[in-house]
Amino acid sequence: MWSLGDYNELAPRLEPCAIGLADACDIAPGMEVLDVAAGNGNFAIAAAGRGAHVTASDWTPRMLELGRDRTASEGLEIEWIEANAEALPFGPGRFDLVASTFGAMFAPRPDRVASELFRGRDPIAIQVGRPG
Amino acid sequence: MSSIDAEVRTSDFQFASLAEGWEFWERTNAPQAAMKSMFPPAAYSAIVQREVALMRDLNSANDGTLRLSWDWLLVRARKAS
Repeated sequence: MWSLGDYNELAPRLEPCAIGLADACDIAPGMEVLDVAAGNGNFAIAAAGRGAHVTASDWTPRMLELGRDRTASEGLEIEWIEANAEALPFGPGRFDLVASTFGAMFAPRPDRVASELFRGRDPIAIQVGRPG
Repeated sequence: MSSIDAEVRTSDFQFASLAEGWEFWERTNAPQAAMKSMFPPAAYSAIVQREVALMRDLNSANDGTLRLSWDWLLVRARKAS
């Protein structure tokens, strides 16, 4: 379903939220950051622009394609990985920050997603959700 | 120590008109596109009428434009080491 519509056109209207989240995270250069259900990379790009080493994951191949194209056009280095937010393929403690902007909240089992976001030893996990 | 805090923030979607806002939503929103592909035309048309009416009701602009405000949560959590 998420490959339908035109996310490249919708995403700019959501980008201020991702920038606000990045500002609230105090991202420092060199931090290891994971963006879960990253879409075309609003938060991932905001984090990379602050000097973080960013991995972006999404379940939808079309989003990975859009994200990789956008990353290349902006001259940033972000690793894009296809992954289910309910079963992230990363070892514990790999990231300093795990984040999601209007992405992981759409997974069908939020308890499972929350467990994945908190799987590391001592990460900060940050998520933005839209109430209601 | 583990901690969690949540902050309510508000954002706006603004368009020149209700018609422009609806056209944008229908063209860009993936769940909307999925509904359009799944429902019979008459059923989809009925849904659209209700959605447009909802947009009209939620419009906070009074100058012919469309402004939809929506709340979201910024949640920050830290797990104890």
